[in-house]
Amino acid sequence: MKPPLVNPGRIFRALVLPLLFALTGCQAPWPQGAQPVARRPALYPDYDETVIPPNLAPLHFKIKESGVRFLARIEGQKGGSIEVLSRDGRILWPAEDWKQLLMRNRGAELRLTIQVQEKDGACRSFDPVRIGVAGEELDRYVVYRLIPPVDHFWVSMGIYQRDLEGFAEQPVIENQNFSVGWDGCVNCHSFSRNRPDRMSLQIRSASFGRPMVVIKDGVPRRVDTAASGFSKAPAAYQAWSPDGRWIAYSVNKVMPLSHTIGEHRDVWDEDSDLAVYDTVANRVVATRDIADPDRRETWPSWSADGRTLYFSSAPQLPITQLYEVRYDLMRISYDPAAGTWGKRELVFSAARHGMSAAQPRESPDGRWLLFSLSHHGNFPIYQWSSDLYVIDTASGELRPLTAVNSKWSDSWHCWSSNGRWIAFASKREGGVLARIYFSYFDRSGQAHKPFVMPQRDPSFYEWCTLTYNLPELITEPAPVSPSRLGRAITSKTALPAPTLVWK
Amino acid sequence: MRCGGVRSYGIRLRFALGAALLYGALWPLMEVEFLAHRFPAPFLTGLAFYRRYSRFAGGPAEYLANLFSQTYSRHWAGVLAFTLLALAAWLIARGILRRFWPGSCHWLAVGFPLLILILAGRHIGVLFILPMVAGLAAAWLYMALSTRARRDWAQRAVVILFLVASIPVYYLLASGFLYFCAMCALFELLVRRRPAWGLAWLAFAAAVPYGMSYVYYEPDIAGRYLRWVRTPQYGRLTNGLLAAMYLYVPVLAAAASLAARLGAAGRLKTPLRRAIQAAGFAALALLAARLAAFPFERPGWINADYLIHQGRLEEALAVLRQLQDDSEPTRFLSLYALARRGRLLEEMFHYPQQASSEALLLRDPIYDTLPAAAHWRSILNLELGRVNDSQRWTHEALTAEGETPRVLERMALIYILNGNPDAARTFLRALEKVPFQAARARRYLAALDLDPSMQADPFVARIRPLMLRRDYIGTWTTEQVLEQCLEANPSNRMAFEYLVAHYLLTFDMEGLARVAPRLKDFYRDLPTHVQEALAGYRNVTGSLPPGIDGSAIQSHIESRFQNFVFLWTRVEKGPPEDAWEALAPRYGDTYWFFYIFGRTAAGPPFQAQAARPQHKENPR
Repeated sequence: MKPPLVNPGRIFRALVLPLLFALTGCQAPWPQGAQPVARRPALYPDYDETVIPPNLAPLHFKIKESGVRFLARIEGQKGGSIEVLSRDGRILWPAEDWKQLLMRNRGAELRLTIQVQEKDGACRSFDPVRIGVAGEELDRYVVYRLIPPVDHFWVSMGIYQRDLEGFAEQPVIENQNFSVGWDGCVNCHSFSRNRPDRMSLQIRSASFGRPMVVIKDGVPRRVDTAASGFSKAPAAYQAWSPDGRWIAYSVNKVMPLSHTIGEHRDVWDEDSDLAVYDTVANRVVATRDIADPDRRETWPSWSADGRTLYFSSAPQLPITQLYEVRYDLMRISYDPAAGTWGKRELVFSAARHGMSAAQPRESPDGRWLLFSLSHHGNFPIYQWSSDLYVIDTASGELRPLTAVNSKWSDSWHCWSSNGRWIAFASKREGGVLARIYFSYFDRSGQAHKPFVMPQRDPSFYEWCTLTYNLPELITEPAPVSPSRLGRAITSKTALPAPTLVWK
Repeated sequence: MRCGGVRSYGIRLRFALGAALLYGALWPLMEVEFLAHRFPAPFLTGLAFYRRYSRFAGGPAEYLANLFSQTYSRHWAGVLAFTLLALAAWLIARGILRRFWPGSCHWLAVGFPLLILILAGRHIGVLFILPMVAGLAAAWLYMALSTRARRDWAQRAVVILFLVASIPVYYLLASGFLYFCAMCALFELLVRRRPAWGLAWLAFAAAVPYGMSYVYYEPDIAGRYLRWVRTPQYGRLTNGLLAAMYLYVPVLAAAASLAARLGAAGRLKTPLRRAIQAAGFAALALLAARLAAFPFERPGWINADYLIHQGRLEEALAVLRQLQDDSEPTRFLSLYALARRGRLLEEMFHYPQQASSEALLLRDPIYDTLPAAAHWRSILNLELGRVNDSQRWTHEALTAEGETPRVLERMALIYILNGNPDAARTFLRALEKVPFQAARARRYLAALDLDPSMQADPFVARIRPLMLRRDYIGTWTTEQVLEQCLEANPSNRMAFEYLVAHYLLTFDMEGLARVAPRLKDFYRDLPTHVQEALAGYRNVTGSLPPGIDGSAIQSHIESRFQNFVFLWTRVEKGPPEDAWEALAPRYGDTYWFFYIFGRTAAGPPFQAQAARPQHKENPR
């Protein structure tokens, strides 16, 4: 008798049993006596010697060593451990175990041991990777703009919020919510003291104008700052005052330009001025010291106490002197109660240092002023030379954040609400696409080696062709849905034109 | 039972045979590589890429259409995808029509896949077809379940279930949802004769997109209802076919229902029925003939663009020559293809040209929104050695088109040329996630690991010496742009030929005289059009430019020029039409003719008003 062509028993043994074996995690035992390798393993993303917050999502990663089986074991100084076995080198920690491990080791250290088995069965064990766990938490949400690496034109873009305790990403607003045919642009979101109940962003829509959208206590409103008579240009970069009443903003006459060698993208700011929008009285307040016709003022930012406005400022130069345009860092005092301005003061001299300052941000305790310096101009994300610096406001000392900076652009930085964390956009992996990094900023003013925002897929940043910018840390999720925000932007009802007050 | 089983086996066999025949028939007809070029669609494997499409109504349908489009990378896969689509469309159309017509619907349903294949094979992306087919499939399912449910409560349950399910159907399919509702409404009104349910379906069709906008808000009301319906924007015939495809199933269903009632009443006479049948078969034959004509038609500059992209430059030039189209995109393509073949200054006036050099670099901002223009500018700038400009336009293409293989590959090459292998790797890893492209991406990545500068790559090795070495900031004229290329590398042949072409197209004889001494660096015998221009130059100035001796102009061109001048002096004073008639047949492809008329004989029919040179100033 001929054997049947299809033998179900054989199929079961050949296919189903190994599958069940793999799915249930039944593995051949891990060989003992792994050969020690006197170096740390190559991991992606690199978390070695970073300090992470105790409330961070699992740090999934890829082991970039050759092998057929990979064992990762992470154990905490104060106890607890997780072990993950992988065949492709991707280590995905179980979320609940990870959370407990971090909570248990708050303020302590994690030790990550990697073992790799070769095809021939030989096993290698690498030096352990050390990851510190800070005592202070990171604000739970980060809001950022996610776009393709656009040049002059754009199609789809949006502002998104990410829950840093997990991997969930939600849109705050996308441009299909307020434009016909994805032709709108949304940019420069801002919050007051990391609170989402005071939020604003800028809209550029062919169909619905160029309003500033102000969200106060969950109610979004269109504000047409250009109608105030201060400037025909719409608001651009903005900063909420800590008391949640004032929005300092810049009006910029920007022109994208291209270089024929090096980084091809650049921005030429033909002119810019600053003003302050009073969200209570619906008026625009300006003074000559921040709207000087002989200078370009931009990148406004409030001090922690809300009584000083920092900004960048440069003399008017023609585009032929593009490389000589360098911005000073200035500040001016402001008394909100009396509505009076002081005199502007120089904080950082571009001429003296030969560098251009942008994006000043004072820490919540008022001790540190964080900003970026680059060779020229005021758009650091397009400047490979852009690095982060701090000024100690107590001593006036200026120093670079050496542990944080890379050979590519580091910019768009912000503080967490407790002042112990910095979030920033860095193009350190190739200089084209920015990713969000976080760095622990300890009480002595030292910034630690940063880590990239973790993703569910550890190889996500290796292939993602979108770029992240303007990370802003917030303590709670944005209070308005994209749909509601879209309706507010496209509605015909707006606040009346703000009145203009020159002081 | 046994008999039924044999019959079912026979039907399946016939269906499989029909599918195989269809696949074989479509193999030579469907140019899926052309479709990949004409309707590029991004797609990366993994959930992260899908999330982009999950945030708006109709996003999942676009995601699936993009996946479908990836099959165009392989001929076998693309043809298979179209075969399956056609079979599915036929089954769905037949299944629906059978609910409205008691007789056989095999042939009646054939028109639907034929229309789909004709439109998808040339005119519209599958994104504008798949949601419609999926919506009809959902309607077919509704009709089948509704018919099967015998009891009243069961029928009600089916209706309510499907009405509720129509909300996610709208999210998935956008406009496909309208088909779903429309067919369900027709079924209830005409077949089941339940007007209340029919009206409920119509009410849902109106209300769901509006209501859904509270979740996925978009201000464009038309967009909420008609996303993924291609609006008419083609020729009359194509628009007619488009309307026929979109209306085929609903209109035939309604007509079949009406005919069934008339037939049942015995009012449809046999001769009339036969006449309708004959007309139907004739229409199907016409549609089939239209499909069979695919390999013999050449759809304008789009085809030339595709052939250039494929490296089939001679075929592209043949297409461009036949077009007689003097639009800037067509002129750009012919100039570019000629330059790539090294025949720009030999033959450029054999193709339609106008008195302007704008088409050389295609820098007019009106083309900024033409998706193809970003590619053209990117490729041309790369060939000229202006890698940063190419990078700029590839970034624009990435924004407009998404992560398609051609954009990702070019992006990687540009970053390799710019000495940034890390950035190149990101784009190559993205390419690795595109279906059918992994092997190509891995080859690049392996080469990059071996040598980050990839000097062994012939393309990289060819372009690298041409790259600019100075930063030119500002806006530049066409002449300055090309001079910058020559400053970086004086032996940049393409830049030199483009510069000479610019002088010829703008009648700038002084410019030609300035570069004349450099002609000998590139040519042993001067190109025909340059000789023609130099003959004209000597005729006007009395001498040749410095660096050019009399022997540079060959005797046959010299005597041809004398004949041209003789003929021109005879017709110069007469009406322009007469001059054109006299000169065009023999001299229409010469620089002299172009100089007189401001255009070549090739191109659209001659109009006397435009018969004088228009020295269009280049605004940049």
